[in-house]
Amino acid sequence: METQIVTGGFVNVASTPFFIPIRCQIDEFRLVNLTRSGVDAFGIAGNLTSDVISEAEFFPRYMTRGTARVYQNGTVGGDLAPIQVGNLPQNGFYLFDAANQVKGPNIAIASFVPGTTTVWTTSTSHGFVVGDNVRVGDLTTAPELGGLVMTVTAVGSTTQFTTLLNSSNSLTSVGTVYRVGNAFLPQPSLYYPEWRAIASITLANPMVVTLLVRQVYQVGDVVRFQIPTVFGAEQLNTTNNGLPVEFTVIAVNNAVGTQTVTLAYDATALTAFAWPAAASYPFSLPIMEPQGEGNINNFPAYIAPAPLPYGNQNILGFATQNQGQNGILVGAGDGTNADDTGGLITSDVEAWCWRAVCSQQTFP
Amino acid sequence: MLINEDPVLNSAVSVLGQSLRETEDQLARSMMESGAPPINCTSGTNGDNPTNITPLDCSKAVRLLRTANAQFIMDMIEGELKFGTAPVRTAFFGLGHTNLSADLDQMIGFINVANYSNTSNLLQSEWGSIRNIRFLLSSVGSITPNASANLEDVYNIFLPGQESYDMVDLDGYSAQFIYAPPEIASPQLRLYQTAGWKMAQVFNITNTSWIVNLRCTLAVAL
Repeated sequence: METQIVTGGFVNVASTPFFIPIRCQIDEFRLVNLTRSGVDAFGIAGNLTSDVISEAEFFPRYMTRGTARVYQNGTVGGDLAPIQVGNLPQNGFYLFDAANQVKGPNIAIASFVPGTTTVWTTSTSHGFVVGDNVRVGDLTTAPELGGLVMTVTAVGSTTQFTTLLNSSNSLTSVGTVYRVGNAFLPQPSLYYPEWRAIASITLANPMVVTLLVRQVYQVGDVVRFQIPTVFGAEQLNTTNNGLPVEFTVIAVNNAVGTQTVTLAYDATALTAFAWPAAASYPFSLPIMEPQGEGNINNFPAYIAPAPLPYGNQNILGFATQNQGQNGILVGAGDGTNADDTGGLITSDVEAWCWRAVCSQQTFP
Repeated sequence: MLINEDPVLNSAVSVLGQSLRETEDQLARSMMESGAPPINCTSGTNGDNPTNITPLDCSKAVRLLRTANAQFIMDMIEGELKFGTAPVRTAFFGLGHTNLSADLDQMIGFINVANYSNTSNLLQSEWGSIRNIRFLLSSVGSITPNASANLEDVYNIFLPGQESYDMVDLDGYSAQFIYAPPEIASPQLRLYQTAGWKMAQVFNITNTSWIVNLRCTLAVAL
């Protein structure tokens, strides 16, 4: 065994947990918010601020996962702020091992509001942040939605969150939800690309497909569909001659909350796609399946041809990648150590630096 | 003084070989979890989604593969004049977890390997067959925990057709067994020797139409 000290810095995306890949075994982790300490860094002006976390530490051997020992600024006086020490109970640090991902605790669902997007209400604080992937189940009066994994696209309150599921045909229900992972972390199945369950399909030209979980597809990718007949849109499925019906991606919006893929296909004559009611339960998931890559120059009606070689270039967009890696996830909240809402990364874009003390196992 | 030494290295080689192959299985399994298109068992009676596995679910999965022109992996085993045996259809392999064994045994029409009309050339992990699927079960088979409608564990049974996935070795880094004698592993006092394996390879689905992930839950509780 030998000790390694690893350092680095980053600029966060607003309200989004940040993953730092670190291969060695982390024994101690220290994070400093340079911006809120009044330090200019990474092109972001320092802004010494009262009552926000400016520094945090994590000792994985002794501390609870998801917490942090934090140093929070007191009231700023001039160019200095006093420091207060405390514990951040949630949205702190999470050691991450892609091959052994830990599910979140079960949280009771009190109800949901059926609609084109679905607003879920929990009985207790859920602790989710935008970008978390959550699974719902045990939905007694909406079993057809049980088992679905969806990305949280908005957090209305500590007991409300929203997903892109179109649940218009369902009845509200009690149930259970838990966090599976996060859209910005390697997924539990490790490998890219993955199939995605469909939230909705817009019958337009070109066709727009919205996905339940944030995807990372790109223009030029080719997909196919596997949609049970109870959902409609069966024209998208592989036909009886065995040849897959394929669709080329001509636009994507991979942002959490949008999660759309636009395909070179006129869907105006399709049978409408809809999540079925409970009477059709059980059924298989409607999915979009990565298939390969195509030539976007074949679709001048949808997308301006690109000069060679780009139109024909191998984008390797769906090349298989093992994304398994270890590291640490920095949680997001309101930037304070408050119960329920507290967290390290805030709704602002800020500059951070970090230091990890690690053990590196070696072999003779 | 005479010392009888156990053949430690021989034992280590055997265990390391199993470790290597199980690691390969896990890598292939994870790749299929990501990319193999899923269909749920829906004909079972356990009230969950997916349901427990039934012969009809197996038939539906095979129908999907055959309509996509996926080719079977195994040839038919013809019937013979042996009591208690039955012929086995041409088949895809069903790669699943050993926890499925009791549910498979419960299916009407399931043929355990002991009842095959010809038991030569069987794989050690083969459990039996039904319809056009021969099941290979392993403790590293795929489970998605708490993922059903009732938040029970979902078992993924992968049905690959011929040429549906492949394995790419990094040049010169296919599985290697590496032995270092005491002169190399501990040259000062030559106290110990080492043995290990390494590889650099990736599994990859070549045609998603020729592979299916048949998802089910258990009817026979653990």
